[in-house]
Order: sequence, then structure tokens, then C-alpha cells
Amino acid sequence: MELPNSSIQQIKTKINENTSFLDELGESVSQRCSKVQKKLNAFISFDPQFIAEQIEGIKNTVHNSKNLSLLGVPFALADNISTSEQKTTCASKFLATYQPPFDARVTSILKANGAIAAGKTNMNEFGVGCSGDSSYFKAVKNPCDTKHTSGNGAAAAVLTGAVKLSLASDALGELRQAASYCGVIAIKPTYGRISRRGLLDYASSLEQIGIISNSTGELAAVMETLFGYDPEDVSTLDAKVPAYSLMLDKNTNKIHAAVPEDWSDAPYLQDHIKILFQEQINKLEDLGIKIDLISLPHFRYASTAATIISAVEAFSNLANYDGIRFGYRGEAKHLQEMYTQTRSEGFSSKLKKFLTFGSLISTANYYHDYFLQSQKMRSLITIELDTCLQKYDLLLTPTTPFTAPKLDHPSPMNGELADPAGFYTAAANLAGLPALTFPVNGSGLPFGLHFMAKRENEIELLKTALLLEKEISFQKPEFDI
Amino acid sequence: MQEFETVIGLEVHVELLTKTKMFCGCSTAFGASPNTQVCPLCLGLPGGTVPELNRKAIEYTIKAAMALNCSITEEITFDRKNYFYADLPKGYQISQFFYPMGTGGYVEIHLNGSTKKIGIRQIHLEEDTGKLLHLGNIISSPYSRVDFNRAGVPLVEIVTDPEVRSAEEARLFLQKLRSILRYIEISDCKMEEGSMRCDANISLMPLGSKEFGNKTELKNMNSFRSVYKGIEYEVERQRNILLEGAEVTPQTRHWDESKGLTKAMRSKFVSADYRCFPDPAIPPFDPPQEWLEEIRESIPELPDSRFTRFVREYELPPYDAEVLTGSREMADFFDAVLTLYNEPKNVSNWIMSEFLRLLNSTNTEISECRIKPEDLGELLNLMDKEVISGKIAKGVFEEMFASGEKPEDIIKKKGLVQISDENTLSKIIDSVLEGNPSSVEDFHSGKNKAMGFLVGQVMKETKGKANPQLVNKLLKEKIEK
Amino acid sequence: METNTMELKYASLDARIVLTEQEEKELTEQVQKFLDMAAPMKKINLANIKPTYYGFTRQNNLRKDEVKPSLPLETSLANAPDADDSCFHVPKIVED
Repeated sequence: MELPNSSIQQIKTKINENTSFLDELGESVSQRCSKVQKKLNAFISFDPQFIAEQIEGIKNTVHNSKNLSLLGVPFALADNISTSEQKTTCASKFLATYQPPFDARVTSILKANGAIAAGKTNMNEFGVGCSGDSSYFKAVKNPCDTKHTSGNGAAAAVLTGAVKLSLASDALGELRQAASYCGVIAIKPTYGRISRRGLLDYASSLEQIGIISNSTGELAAVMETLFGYDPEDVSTLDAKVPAYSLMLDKNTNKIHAAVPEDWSDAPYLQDHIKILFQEQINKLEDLGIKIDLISLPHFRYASTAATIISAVEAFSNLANYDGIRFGYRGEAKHLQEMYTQTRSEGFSSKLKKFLTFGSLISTANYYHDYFLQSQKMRSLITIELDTCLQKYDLLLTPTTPFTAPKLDHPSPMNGELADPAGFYTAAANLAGLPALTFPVNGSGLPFGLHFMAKRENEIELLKTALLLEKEISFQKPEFDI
Repeated sequence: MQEFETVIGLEVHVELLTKTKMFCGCSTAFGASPNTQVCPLCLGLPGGTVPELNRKAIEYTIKAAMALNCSITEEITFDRKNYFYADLPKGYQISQFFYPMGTGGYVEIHLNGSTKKIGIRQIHLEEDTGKLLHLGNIISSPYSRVDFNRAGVPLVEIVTDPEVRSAEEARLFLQKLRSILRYIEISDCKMEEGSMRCDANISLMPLGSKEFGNKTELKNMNSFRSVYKGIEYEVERQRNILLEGAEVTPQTRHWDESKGLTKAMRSKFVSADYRCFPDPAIPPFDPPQEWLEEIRESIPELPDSRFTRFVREYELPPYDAEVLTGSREMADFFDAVLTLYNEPKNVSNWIMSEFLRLLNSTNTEISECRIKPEDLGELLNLMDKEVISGKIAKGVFEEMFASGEKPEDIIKKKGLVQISDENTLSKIIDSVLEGNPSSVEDFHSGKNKAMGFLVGQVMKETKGKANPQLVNKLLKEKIEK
Repeated sequence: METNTMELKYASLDARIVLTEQEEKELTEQVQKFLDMAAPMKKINLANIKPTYYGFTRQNNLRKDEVKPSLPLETSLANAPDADDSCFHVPKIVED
């Protein structure tokens, strides 16, 4: 069977027709993942044996699980989402052997719905950034050009059909940036849509689990399954989950979108992205989407503010990495020396610098002018976006100012504390708004169109994505696995 | 010689009597074996899930704030105090740094017949830490063991204004505070078990000065006695330094109970900058007005107003009233006796002498005591009705204290009913007079002591059951005949 | 705003991190670059704006004070780098 070309529905139908298909499925998932792993290093944990065990498990209970929404669907989780049956490393030396004693909420939901955990995907250490180069388990290569980063393994695994869907976290836009680099669809839902229970987050107030998929319809189905109130996570929304799949088919009113007039001020914006984005605006207008250039004076500070907030939160969130209850421990004679040895050896150079930055920016000297100022900026940007989205259905920008950067090729932007890749994406995290990236594939590496919608209005994003999927002859980027 | 004024501010920590911890469902029961009351959250495991705020912890803190005459914050928020220590699993302590639960309250103490208000600067809720178990003492221990059972137990911190002026005032304040907190049943306030802990900030300034001197923070005082002794010592130490013309070094000092002195604690590597910032994982909570009213109504009559009532209504001496209202159980006991036997002074006398003597000599808490208030009331009634004598009553009371039996049962069982029948007593007196002619002679020759001897003989004959007044009357009549 | 190396050293120590000389040099440059970039944001007058510290707009839920099972002891200790059969171990607390 050709896994990449089978839909969620097809997999389910085939299993229900004949359970022996499960063996074929398991074999196919393992082979595919194995190839992708060899070529791209997309996974941190991938174990054919574990896949086989799950297939056996489904076989034994299939008579009861015929209607499970994700029956037999292979998925991958980024390695900062807790799994009790596989280690969870955050791509860090610190947690290289860490096995959580519990499943994340999303892990349990996927399991309970019959999905197959194919593996844990590679990422930047602790999910900080999307450069693809800070994993203790080496960089993830882009399926479209292995000289470039794929941002994270989650996007690469979906594009290459190793899995049907993957989940990863998004604090400043990492998930959407990787999806943009790899040419897949990704959604970061409204803050609180998906339980954060069991996510090893570095920036609690910004970070959400998001979903990567190859198809809008399937994305909608997965959202229905994963969204919802979690009584054990006070940050989840206590709101009814819409029946996205059904709503998708309903007719859409004319879409009215806004584009920030200064969108092309992004640092490191590539010329060809500038041109491509302009072309896309024209195409969208041809599809009947009305587009206005508007003024969003503080949008440009989103990434800076989010970087400061995320660094301070990371400094604190990662303070439990002390070598006492779990993870790496450095050799030392005294407690305080043990802390510094443990943390200096267990964290990468990049993370050490990031945490030190967070420590610095939260000291009394900087607190007011930077940290507090950023939290105020968040209020201002939230108001600005909310107001804009009262009037417009969508806010449209490129997802990233550039296509996937080259690996092993130091560029000035590698030395930035505020990842320039987050220029367009960070605002959605600051304001907790839903955002979706949709791939545009021309010549060369893929890039994404970025849509933001009103709070809890993910359906608007899905409808737009579906429209693009149908109308702009959606083509997957080319890759060779 | 130069005179100084002592300035003391107290910081009191009190563990709340909740069943579970502040942010998770782990038990707070005292004395469990190490690390058996922990979960991913209070153990600070990676992705250790989301803090779930304990309603009772909030309620108790509000109740305490109200009982200490504080105004209550409109929005309840929690902040992170960031520092590294082996007993702190998350690398930060969750506390209420920016908006304490209550502010601007006071406690009244009675000192040398007058009343003094000690200001309560703030009262806030925070998490307790784990416990370090050393091999020997902290300095020589080659390594230490950590038990996290206590980590995350809700702790209330009460900070006074620097208005305490002596060790005696500190002790009185603490006793009054404990009494109030026990009245409202939010903590058992056992200093010996660590459920109440007190640190003191101590400084001296020249009498009449407006400027505080350098202060030291005194820790490790584990009883009311050691608070008193520790402060006395530290005040004297500072006075001697100042008299020598030297300066007091601001530092943290430990009270060494066995040696009876305070010692400076070296605390290398501990930063003064805790980088407190609002916890991004804990949503704020505005306590509804109705709930606050409910809590306010649940506060019983507190020691001060009870004291006033006892003095005014029952006309008790202030000393008696102070003792009786010192604990809620005692005051409740007293009030309950009165419902059956409305002679406050009499009841007070019994409690102040017999009851307290027995409680103290057997080291019994009033809550564990077997005597019921109605039984004491009944005993006093029986005395008034002259069923038993006062002397017999004391014996019966001891019996009641030991066995919990009702007074009438004891009296019946032991045949202790007072002999008040004139005929019976006359016969006994006659035989005593007959048997002691020399005493009768002594009496007639003016030796009044002989009368006492004869009364004693009658009591001996009746095993103490004879009605003493009647014996006196009859004996006098007969002997003077 | 200029960041000096001492500030950075203290900040790293407060995070219990020791930077190599090379890392310290790189970070000093990065921080300087960042602060320069953040300068326009710092200048904006936000005196009247209330800060937002949370990703949610909702109020907290309060939990009932009911005991839930804790982890089995073996599970709690399973990931510990150094422990005995009931406690975690830490090196000597007080430096000689």
C-alpha cells in the first residue's frame, strides 16, 4: 500500500474491510519512517517493534474500535510531548534517556482514538526556535533539499508521508515556520484549544501544541478529536468544539482579508518571497478574496516582545532541570557546583545562552524596560489584532521572511537572539489567536502563506485553506525519499 | 549609658490544614514515609502537568486574612520566586509576591494591663518546600537526602510591621496569632512539628531615633520559648556591638537552642534577585463577593471579642478571661458548661484550678479530654444541692477525667452521696464525743483547735461523706450543751 | 543600553550556568544586538497599558480539596540520577 497517498478515511475503511490489512499498514509505516529517518534524521525515537506491538493491540480490539476516528492512522509527536512508552528527550542531552511516568493529554487522546504512534520527532532543543540545528540528536534535513533545514522533524515526517499527522509545539511560531519550510499545512489553534498537559513547554504563556497535516479535510478531523476542555488543564478553553468537517462543506461568504502595510519591513526578507507573496495576493484576489492593506503599527514588535517573554519564562520553566529528580547530572563536590555542572553540561551552548539571556532580562536592571514593556506590548498588540479581526476575517502575511535556511552555513541571522523567522508568526502567540500556514510551492524551496483569525474562529482558517487547496491546484513540493 | 529601642518584624509561616497540596491532589498528611506523597507536578518533573488551585487553600487564607483584619485583594494571582535549592523541586516557589491575599491588618496583644496593636503588613499564600535529611548536621553531612512530601503543601506567610518592641511582645503576638488561627481552624500551629515557624528581623536604634539600624534575620526558633530566648539573645548581642561603637552586620543568623546563642549562617551563592514575575501557568481568580461573605460569616467569635464578653457579661477577672479564651476549645467548653450551670465565676474557678491542673499534669489537650461540659455542669449542680461535698467533688472530678463517666454514676457506684440526715449524723457525733473526752475537755478549756480535730473524726467515720456545714452545726450544739 | 560582562556573568550564575569565554563573548554581542533592535520598542510610552502575563483570558478553576493517588515510590525515583530506596540524593550542601 502507498501510505502517503491513502487518506485517513481510506485507512479506516481498509482496516474495517479486512483486519489483515493492519499488518501491511504496520509494515508500510515502519519502512517509510525508516527511510525518512535514514535520509533526514526526522525522528529521535522510532522503533518498528513498538509499531508492531500497537498493530497487534489494534487487531485484538478491532471489533470494538471500528468507529474510532483515527483508526490505524500513523502519527508522530515532537519529542517535547510526554509519552510513557517512549522516551521524551526534548532533543536535549539533559533528557537523552528520560522516560516520563505519564502520557500527555494529546498522547492519550490519539491512542484512545486508534491512531498509531510511529515515533517521536526531532526538533530544536526544548523547542526553542526553528533553526533545526540545536538538537542533541543532530539536525533534521529538509526533504526538498537536504542541504537545508526542515525546521523540525514533525513537518518533514508529514511531507514525506512517514506519518499522516504530527503534533509539535509552537511558542513563537516554530511549528508554522517548519511547516512553511517543508511545504505542509499547520495550525496553531487558539490558546487553550488543545490541552497543554504533558507538554514540556519552555514558554507557558505563548506555547501551544499545533497540528501538521497534508490536507485541510484531515486537519479538520484531527482538530475535532484533539480540541476540547481538559478538566485537569486550567488553561484549556471551556468551549464547545465545532464540527469542523461538517462546517467545511458549507458555503462561505466572501472572505475579507487584511495585510499589514509594512509587511515587507521584515528583517532578512528574501526578494523572491517578496515577489511570491505579492503574486499570491493577486491570486487570492482573483479567487474573490477582498484584500486591504492596513496599518498595524505595533505588529513589528511582536517577535521582540515574544522573544523577551519566552526567554524569561524559559529561564524559570527550565529551572527544574537541576540533576536531582531526573535527567543528566554533572559530577561535583557540592550542591551549587552540581547545579552549574549539570546545567552547563546538560544544555547545548545555544540553550545556555538563551537561558542566560532570560536570566539577564528579568533582573531588576532590565525588568521594567524590557520584560514588563514586552508584557504591555503584548496587550497592545492583542488589542490591535482583535480590533483588526473584528473588521476582517483574516490577517494575511508570509509565514516566514525566507525559505528554509541552509544547514552548516553560518549566517548573520544565526546569531540573533530573536529568531528572524518569527517576525510574522509571533503575534499570534502573543495574542493567543489561531493561525494557519498554507504551503505555496513554486520553483525552489516551499514557503507558506500565513493566516490569522479571530479567537476560537479556526473554521475561518480551514475554509480558506480548503479554498486554496481546491483553487490553487495544490501541489506537494517535490522530494526524493 | 546610651539607650536603644528594639525594632522587630516577624515573619510567621503556617501550614494550612488542607487535605491536599496547593496545586495537586497529593495528600498533606504528616509523617508519611519519604516521597510517597508526590506526583509529577509537586516533584517538578518535566511537563509535570498543570497547576490546579486548591479551593480550600484559598478559602483558608482569605479567612485568616479576614480574622487578622486585613483587606482582601480583588484579584488573586500567583507569582514565581526563582532560586535554586535542593528542597525546591521546580526551581521556583509559587507565592503571592505582587498582590498578597490580605494587607493592612492588625493583631491586638495584652501587655501589662494595656492593649497594643501589632500591624499585619501582609498575609499571603505560598508553597512549602521539601525536606532535607542530613547525615548528622548540614555542615558535616557528606551528602543529603531529599524528601519532597512537604513540597507544595500550602503555607500562609504572615508579615508584621516592624512594631514589635521586645521578646515578650513577640511571644505574646505569636500566642495570640496561634490562638486566632486555631479559632478559625485553618492550621494546628504546632511549632514543634513545624506547622508554625517564625523568623524575626531584629534591629536596634538609639532611643528616639527615626532611622532603623542594620537588621539581622533570626531563624530556626522552634518553640515559643526559643522565640523569646532567641530574640532576647540577639537583642543583647546587638546592643553590645553598638555600645562598643561597632556596626551590626546585616545577615541571617540561626538560633542554636542547645548552646543558647545565635550564629551567622553562610549563604554563599544565593542571589538576592529572585526575579519574581507572575506565573504564566496560573490564571488569576477574582473571588466572588458572595463567597467572601460566606467566608466572613464562617468566622467564629475570635479571642478578643470573647475575652471582652467574658469580662463584661460574666464579670470574670481579666486574667481568667484571658486563660479561658486562649484556645477556642477551652472557651467553647466554658460556654457549654454555662448552659447547664449558670454560675460563671464558679465554673471558671473549677476550670482554672482543677481542670487545668489535670490537663497539665497528664499533658492532655482539651480536645482529647474525656470530660464533657454537661458533666462538669452536673457535678457543680450536685455540689450546690449538697448531694456531695466540695472535697468529694474534687475526687469525683478526677475520676470523671480519667474514665469519662458521669458524676452521678461515680457517686452512686462509690456510695459518695453526702450524709445530710441529722439523725444519722447525731448518732455518729455522739459516739465521737464519747470516744474523745479529752478533746471535749480541751475545747471547754478554750482550745479551739480541738473542734477541728473532732470534725475530722466525724469525717473519718463517714469517709468524708458527712455534710461539713451540718457536722459543724451539730457538733457545736452538742458540745456547748 | 549597554550590557557589561559582569552583568552577564551574574545572570548566567543565577541561572546556574557557566559560559565558556567564547560563549560569553558571543552572547555579549548577541545581547547588544538584541537590545539595539529592541530600543525602539523600549521607547514607546506604554505607561497606561496594563501588562498581559497570560495566554488565557479565562479565570482560574478552583479544585476541590480531595486526595488523588500519588505516584508509586519506585516511579518517583525511577529517573533520579542518584537515590536510595526512598530519597533523592544531593551532594554536600555546604561548601568547605
